[in-house]
Order: sequence, then structure tokens, then C-alpha cells
Amino acid sequence: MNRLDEQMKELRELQRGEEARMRTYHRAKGELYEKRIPVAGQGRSTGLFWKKMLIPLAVLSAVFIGFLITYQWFQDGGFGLTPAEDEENQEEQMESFTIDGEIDSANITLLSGDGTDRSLLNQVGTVTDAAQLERLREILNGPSTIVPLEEEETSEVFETYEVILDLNNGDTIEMEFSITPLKVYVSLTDVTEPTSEQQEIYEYGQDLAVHLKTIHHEALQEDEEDDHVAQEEDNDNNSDQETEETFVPVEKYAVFADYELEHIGPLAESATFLFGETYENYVLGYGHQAHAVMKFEVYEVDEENDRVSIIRRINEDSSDYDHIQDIMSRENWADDMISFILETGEPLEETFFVYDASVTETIITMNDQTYAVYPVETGVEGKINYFKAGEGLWMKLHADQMTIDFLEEPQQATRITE
Amino acid sequence: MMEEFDELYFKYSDRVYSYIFLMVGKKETAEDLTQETFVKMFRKRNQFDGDSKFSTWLISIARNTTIDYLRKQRPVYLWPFEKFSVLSAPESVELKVTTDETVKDVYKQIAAMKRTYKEVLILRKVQELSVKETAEILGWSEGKVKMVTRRAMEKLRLQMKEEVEPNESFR
Repeated sequence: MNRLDEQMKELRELQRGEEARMRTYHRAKGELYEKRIPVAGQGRSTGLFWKKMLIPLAVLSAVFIGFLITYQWFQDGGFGLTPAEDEENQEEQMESFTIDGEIDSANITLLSGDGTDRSLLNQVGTVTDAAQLERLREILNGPSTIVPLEEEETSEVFETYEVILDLNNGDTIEMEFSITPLKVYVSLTDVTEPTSEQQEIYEYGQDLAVHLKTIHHEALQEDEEDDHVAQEEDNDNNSDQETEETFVPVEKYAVFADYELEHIGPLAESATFLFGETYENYVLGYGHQAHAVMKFEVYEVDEENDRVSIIRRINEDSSDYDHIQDIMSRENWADDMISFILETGEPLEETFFVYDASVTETIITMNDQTYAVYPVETGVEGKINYFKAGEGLWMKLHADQMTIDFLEEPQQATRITE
Repeated sequence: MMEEFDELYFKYSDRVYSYIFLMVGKKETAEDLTQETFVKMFRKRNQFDGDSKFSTWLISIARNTTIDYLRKQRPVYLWPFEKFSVLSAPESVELKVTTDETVKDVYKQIAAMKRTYKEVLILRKVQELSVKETAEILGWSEGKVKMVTRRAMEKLRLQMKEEVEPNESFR
């Protein structure tokens, strides 16, 4: 049981004060008691009424349910595309992984952009002891890529873990780790479209991505028979070299690294970035504002001018709350959310990041430490974003008139680093 | 009959309140919904069939009550900045959960998560319900509960920036 689990348990019975507890108690009891006072004859006649109505109501309900089922069937082409079906598939997938975990084989598969696939690693084997585990770790570039076990579950639950790696060239590597105590299985997944949640898990595969990308290129180089693929690989290598040689400010300053900024007041915020599949130039950012409300923003990327702008912003506590919740429950919800925000959000133009060669890094002091950061004028007077190389948004300075009016002096929202 | 209510209330009300509070983040609302939950529970107590634990059944009533509330609540515009009062914003979120700062941080991180993650973490990790009980309450398969719990925990760990010892993974 780890520390986080223990801390979560402490939330189970929060202290709320005897007064509050008793107030709720008396109100609930009062409500119940009030309803229990019988009005002469009313309870009996009401009971008879419902007894008489029971059969007609049941018939009506059956007809209505039948109608709903028929309607749904025609609408979805025989239930083929209902969310429930998707969930069922997901469940089956989990089950099949469990079965896969029993076999002594392991695959990591590269799915190429043209739909073909090829195995990169085969027969890694079932890891049952430390030596084999070490070997797997070497192959997969370190243990940080494997999920930590939740100890209380491992004795009874066959854990699985998916990693989806999106390579720069558009290919995807998909892996499935099935973990039991002292055993690690790696097996092929049949996931063709990673969900947003799987994308999140990818965050754990950063180191692994680098290594697998190397494996990817090595594997492609060995394939001399496939000229087309070989050509792609050359292109990849060329583009990699270009990447290494070309200065890309958005990458250098990790503009789309998730962040959380702390502030004692309402300027605390966070953002998690999701890249959709449909929109090449738009990125979804979502997170909390002042821990009070979820905000969703669409970022537009202007590669030519090294500029990233926030062009739409909505929040969850709006009249579209249910719709937003519905979108978030879907797989690959980033695209749907971007579409929704583009349709419904008010246009705005707020610079999140822009690179100007004439602007140099500056030194800021944050929580008694100094950092070299790159300042970005947001276009809103007095608001400056500071980006730290390789880390992303490091600090926001709010020196605009409204902040000063409300909080009396300029405010800093600073990156939470631990 | 009211003795039965008293017994159930004092045994479970803190737990129900905590569950609701974590879901809605406001003390007064949590108290109101706790009251509503117990009234509903007592009126429907004959429907409890004993197939599940009573606490599981009660939490499922609390959940339905809370979800109903969340669906009905009036929109609160706290964003953009121009639309909210600086003085009222911090008060809108109940942060005085506990004196333990770290636990408070955990609360804040859970509160900021999307609803599916929040719900599954509260039920599995805070309320310590089993996979089966959680699946029952959420109407999910047990496989989905396990999968979403794991993803939510990973997300939470990321947010908490908790250092995880790699070797722990294979104990």
C-alpha cells in the first residue's frame, strides 16, 4: 500500500463538525416524520389508486420501452455503433488480454501509416525471474516504462497496461503489458485507434519512445526488400537530421508540456494537452482554473511564425455541462471537443507562445530560486508567459490593471515542480 | 422505527457526506444532499434486497442524488477572469478538508479530475469499495472499473508528481 493510497483513505470520513451533522440529522428526520403523519384516509386511497393503476402503467411502460429499443436499433444499424457496444468491446479486449498473458510470447508491433504492420520484437518471452526481467528492462530501455503495481490488487487481479507510442513519422507502436506478481508479459494489442486515455498513458513512455524509435529505424533499415518502406525510413532519417539541426522554438521550450501553476488566489491553473487526429494545427488544452472550474481551450499552431495562440476558451460550468461530459466520455474525445469549442466558443486571440529571435532569455526568481526563461508577451497588457527550455510554461506574470485592481499588486502563478 | 434511522444515520452519515463532498466540493451542498440521501434511503429501505452490502447500496443512492444535483445545478461562471469576484472565488471551493496539507492536495487533484476518474477513485480508493461493488454502483463491468482505476491512479500520480520507485513495480 503506497503513501498516496493512505492519503486517499483519509478522505473517507471527513470532519464536518457535530453541529453540521446534527443539523442534517434533524432536518432529515423532520422531513421523514412530516411525511409519516397520515392524513385521514389518504394513505389508503392512494394505495388503492396505485394498485388499480399498476397494470395499465406496466403495459404503457412495456410499449414505451419497446419503442425505444426499436428506435435505437434502426438508428444505430442494429446497435452496431452504440456506446454500450464500444464499452462491451473494451471489456472483451481486457479479457482477451488476460488470455494473451498466459502464452509465452510477446510482441511489440509497429503499425505503419499505410496500414501494414510488422513485428519489431518477437518472443521476448514471459518474464518470471529477475534475470529475465532485467533483460526486458534493457530491451525496453529501463523500468520507468512499466507501471507500478497496485499491491493490494495484484494478488487477485491480472493487471494489464497499454502503451501507445505515436512516432514522429506518423507510425504507431502499440504494446500491451500484462503484469502479475513476478511476471511480466508483453503481448500484441489489437487497438488500432488509441483513446485519449491511452494517449495519457503514453506520457509514461517518453524514455521508451526514444528507444523504440531507434528500434523502429533499425528494423526498417534491415528490410531491404521493401523499397517503399526503405524510402520512408530514409525520409525519416533525413527529417530526424533536420530536426536535430533545425532550431524549433516550440519544441525547445516544450510549449505543449502539461503544466500546473500555483497561486494562493484565483490564478492557479493547470493544463493537459491533447492532440487530435483530425486537426493538424489545433491542440486541445484542458485543466482547472483556481481549482474551481474546468476550462477547455483550443490552441492554434502557426509553425511558420513559431507562434501558438489560444483562439477559443470555454468552461465546464456552462449551460453545455452535460454535452461536455458526454464528449469527455467518448474515445478520442480531443477531436470532438475541439470541434465543439470551435463551434460554440467565442473567438479570441491570445498569444500563448511566440518566438522572436531578438528576444533573449531572462532570469526570474521563483520560490527563492532563479531560472533562465523565455518571456512571451501574450498580447494582453501586463500579462507575460515565461517558458523554461525543455519544461514548458514555467510562470505567468499577471500585471494587468484588473489583477492590480483586485489583488493590489502584480501576481505570479508559478509552476508546481514537485 | 426512528431508532433504526438514528442508527443508520450515525453509522454512515460521515461516510456519505464525505463521498458527496468530494463530488461537489461545497460543504452546504454536501450537507443538503446527505440529508436527501438519508431521506431517500429510509423511504426505500424495503427495496434493499441484501444482495450487496448496505453501505454499497447507500453510496449508490448518494451517487444518484449527487448526479441529479450536478445535472440540475445552475451554471456558475467563474471563467473568464472578468466574470468572477476575486473575493468569492476561493470560497467557492472548500479547501479546508483537513489539516494535513498533503491530503488536501490529494483532494484538490481528485476534484480537478474528469468525472469518470473522480468517481472511480472516490469509490475504490477513498471509500475502499471492492471492484465488484464499484462496478455495481457505476453500472460498469469489473474490467472497466479496473482499467479506469488504474488510469485514474496514474493520472493522479502524475498530477501529484509523486516519485515512484521503479523497482516497486515488480515486487
